[in-house]
Amino acid sequence: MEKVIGIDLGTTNSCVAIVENGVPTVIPNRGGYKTTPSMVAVTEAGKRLVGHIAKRQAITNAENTVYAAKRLIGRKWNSPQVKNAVATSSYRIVQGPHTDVRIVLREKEYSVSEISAMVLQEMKVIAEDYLGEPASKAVITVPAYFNDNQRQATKDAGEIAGLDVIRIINEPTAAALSYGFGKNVEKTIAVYDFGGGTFDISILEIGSSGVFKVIATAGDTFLGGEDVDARIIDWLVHGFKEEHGIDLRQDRMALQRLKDAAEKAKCELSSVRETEVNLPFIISSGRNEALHLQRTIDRKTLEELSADLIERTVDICKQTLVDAHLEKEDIEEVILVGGMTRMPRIQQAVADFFEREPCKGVHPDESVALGAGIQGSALIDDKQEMVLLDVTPHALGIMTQGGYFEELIPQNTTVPTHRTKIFTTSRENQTAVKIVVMQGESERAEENELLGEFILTGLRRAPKGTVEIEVTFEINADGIVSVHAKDLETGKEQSIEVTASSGLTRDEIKDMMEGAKDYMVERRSTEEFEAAKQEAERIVGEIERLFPQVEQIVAASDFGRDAIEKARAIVTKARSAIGKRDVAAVKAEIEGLSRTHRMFKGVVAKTH
Amino acid sequence: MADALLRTPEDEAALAEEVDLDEEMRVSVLTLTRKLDVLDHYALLGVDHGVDRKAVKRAYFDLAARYHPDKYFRKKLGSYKPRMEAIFGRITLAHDTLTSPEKREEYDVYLDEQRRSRSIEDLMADALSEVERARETVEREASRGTAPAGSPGVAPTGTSSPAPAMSGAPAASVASVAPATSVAPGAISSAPPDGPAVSGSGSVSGSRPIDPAIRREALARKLLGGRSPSSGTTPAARPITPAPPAPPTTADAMEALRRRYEERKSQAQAAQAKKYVALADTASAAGDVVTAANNFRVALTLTPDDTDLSRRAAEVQTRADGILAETYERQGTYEERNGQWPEAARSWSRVTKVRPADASAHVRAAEAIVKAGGDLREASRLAQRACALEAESAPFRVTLANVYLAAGMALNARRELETAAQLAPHDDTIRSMLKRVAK
Repeated sequence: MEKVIGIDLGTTNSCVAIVENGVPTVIPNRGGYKTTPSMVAVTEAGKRLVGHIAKRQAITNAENTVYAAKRLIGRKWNSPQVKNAVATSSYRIVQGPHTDVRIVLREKEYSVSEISAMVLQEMKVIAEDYLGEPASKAVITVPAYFNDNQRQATKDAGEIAGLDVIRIINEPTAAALSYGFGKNVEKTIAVYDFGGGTFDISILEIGSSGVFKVIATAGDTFLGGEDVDARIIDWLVHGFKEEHGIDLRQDRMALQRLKDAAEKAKCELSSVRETEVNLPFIISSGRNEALHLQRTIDRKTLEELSADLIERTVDICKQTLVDAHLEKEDIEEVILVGGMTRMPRIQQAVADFFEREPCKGVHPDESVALGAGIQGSALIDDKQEMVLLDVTPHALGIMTQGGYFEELIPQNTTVPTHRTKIFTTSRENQTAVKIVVMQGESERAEENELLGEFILTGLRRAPKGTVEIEVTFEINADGIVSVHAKDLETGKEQSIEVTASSGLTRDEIKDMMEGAKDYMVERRSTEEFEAAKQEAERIVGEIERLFPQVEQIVAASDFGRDAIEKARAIVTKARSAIGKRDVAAVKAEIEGLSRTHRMFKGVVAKTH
Repeated sequence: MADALLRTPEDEAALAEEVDLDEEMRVSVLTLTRKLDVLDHYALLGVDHGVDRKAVKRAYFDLAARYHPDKYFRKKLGSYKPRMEAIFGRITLAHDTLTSPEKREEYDVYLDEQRRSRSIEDLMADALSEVERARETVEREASRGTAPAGSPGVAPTGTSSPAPAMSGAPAASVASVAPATSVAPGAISSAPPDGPAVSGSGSVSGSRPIDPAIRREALARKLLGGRSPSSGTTPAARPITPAPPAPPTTADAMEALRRRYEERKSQAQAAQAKKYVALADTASAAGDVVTAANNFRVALTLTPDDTDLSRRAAEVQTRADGILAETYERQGTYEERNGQWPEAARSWSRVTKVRPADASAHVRAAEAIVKAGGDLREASRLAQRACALEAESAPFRVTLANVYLAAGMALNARRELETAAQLAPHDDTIRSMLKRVAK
């Protein structure tokens, strides 16, 4: 049976896991790290870098290094979140052809899904290296509060990366799966997930029969560790300006260094009471003198800077309990997920709110990927006794006359589900109706997310209000929304699958997939060449080390003069193949080199 | 569960489908699908009415683990997939309702109301058959003394009056409706309509409408001049033979016989009517208004000229209707809250039938019809009536406007909204609606 990998595609870090022999395991990357930075860069030479190597060069290549692409995925160009990102990012964000968002790296435009696909591809490679076989099926997690367009864009990213995304699941839900997996408990739990870019809270019930039921979920897709970093940056920038009268924000490289330093200081303040931000030569003054940034920040300052953000998360928790029709006492366990939950103030705020110490047994960085792996294995493996009953995070409905939103499926409805409503025509002899499918909680249609629209045609010509159309909205277990429409008079039916839009067309996705595949072929052949080159160079080294000895021996004898010549020829040929970066040729030379090496060793051994 | 499967052609086709489900699972999906519309939330989850939240959850989780489509991820499920999704949707609704204390309480009340209104309606329908029964008794009593000597008496009936059946009806009826909606398999299938047990009107028990066989027998008796048909054969199967010629008598004797018959009949009618009035009084004293109304109705058909009786009957009937209307009002309110619009439309329409002057019931019926996408003509009639009843109400005008909008009659809607705006000049909703309609 083919294995399914679980990928936590995070705002700042990503993680991949798998269930092996019934045990969920995180797969470390080549550097031995269990998480990989969700960063992508393109070097001056046009080389693509993903993960730690991208992060390491971010300061010197700030304009061509993408971080936190997740904050942009599936969003429209004109959304306030994108506007905010355009103003604060060190990389260039431009408008795409479908009012979507594109990122410019070395003069080339990439869609956000493409950037995310690069991270996913890296995770795929990490898994494949570990498994020693191709991994094509994946469960990918998204913030619970992502709307369908963001989910679709993530799915598209998976597809571009060559993955069959068998399910998208919510991050807090995944964390709950990893918490409850294999434990035979009946409990109501809250998952507080404060990550790099998003905040989510989910309340779940773990029941008998291996059932995990989500009761309510809420969150903020633009509230995360990045925002805390931004507060620290603001504080540093402000202080620097007061001291030197210079705005560090005008300099992209300085901004990138500040970002790094802020994140580092934030992390350190989880374990120490104060830390120093030290950025020498951060900028030069107008008089061409170098200025340094050096400031001490303590935990209390950080807590003050982020107090309102933490308060916001607590407010969302409050509302979610109300939505779940539960009291604080009903929550039997609180799980903390996401890097931000390492912050002592946040742990305290959660403990204060729920009046209960959070559970320590769940890894804040790894549990989401583990849960994704668990869900993947439960879907594919018949022997796994686990079922996840998830809910719709947002209400689903249609736009009615006058731009109002009419809800058909409410928020927090367990899926699969379906709702039916009867509509009539509003004009004389109307033969078609336009149905605009939307998602969100606002009464005003324009404030909600447009998922798609379609037109039902072939209606009977009749006076207005006389043709009745029964419309059924359905969400299946895969989260796919479909709409069936039935002309009640004739019984004629039409079905439409509403595909949320990532802002990319099918053709674009196909092209990007090809591009990703080409990249993979190239990358794999580069790796193959590097391996062959190393092997060849190693043997050449050995041969060259033996040359003087062999020459001596041969000089004292009548035999083997041409053997020396032959050996020199082989080495030259191998070098030239390496120079031409010709994998096949290098591989072909390796055999000859090995033979020569064995022969040399034999000669030397015989003589001694 | 396997034995409960009805092998309809649809089931057979589904069983023959090539899917990745074993026989047992297929049968249980088909069986449960068939029962979804009949079972209430408790029966569906297989729990008793009194169980706690935990037990409901356990039952739900067990069923969810069995029927959730993810259990068969990317397996071939054919027509079983929508079936399983429907089952899952229903068990989830049952769970969500029964695990929320408020929702559950409401639902329990709703179930009670539903049971009540059903039993009231059954009871009212029963009054019609009771009238038939009373007539038969009268006929029998009247013909007892007039039948020619030597003829074999009256129908094979006991001497029991119809009264016990009637007075026992309310209790029996409540009890007999309950199992049909709440108890698992078996209870749903009712006895065949032409049960052999019924041999005469007096022995009918329970509240079910009178057996057709008895009605036919009564008809035959009339045709046969009061003589009972030979019992033992199925009435339906027997051709109706012309009545045997009456024994040769003189015309005078015939006339005397007729007069005696009429006299006896009128006496019997009065006696029966009295009996029903007495029953009505007893029921009324016991607070059982519906039974009282029914008995008055029967009595009134026997003595239609009794004005005092007719006044009392009308009075009690109004009260009984009021009770029925109240149960429908409560059902309608529940259905509205749960978005069961077609059901709410029906309940509120029933309320308006009994309370023609209740403007609010009319408006709610109209709104429910619009939401359910029902008959907009009926909705506009109801909303218009509400506005006629309370001409000063702005919200009623808005409802009427909404009905017009749903029907695509923008001009009418605008007119109503303008009236509403005059009635409530500071209402922003009305103003913004007006703005929309004006476009």
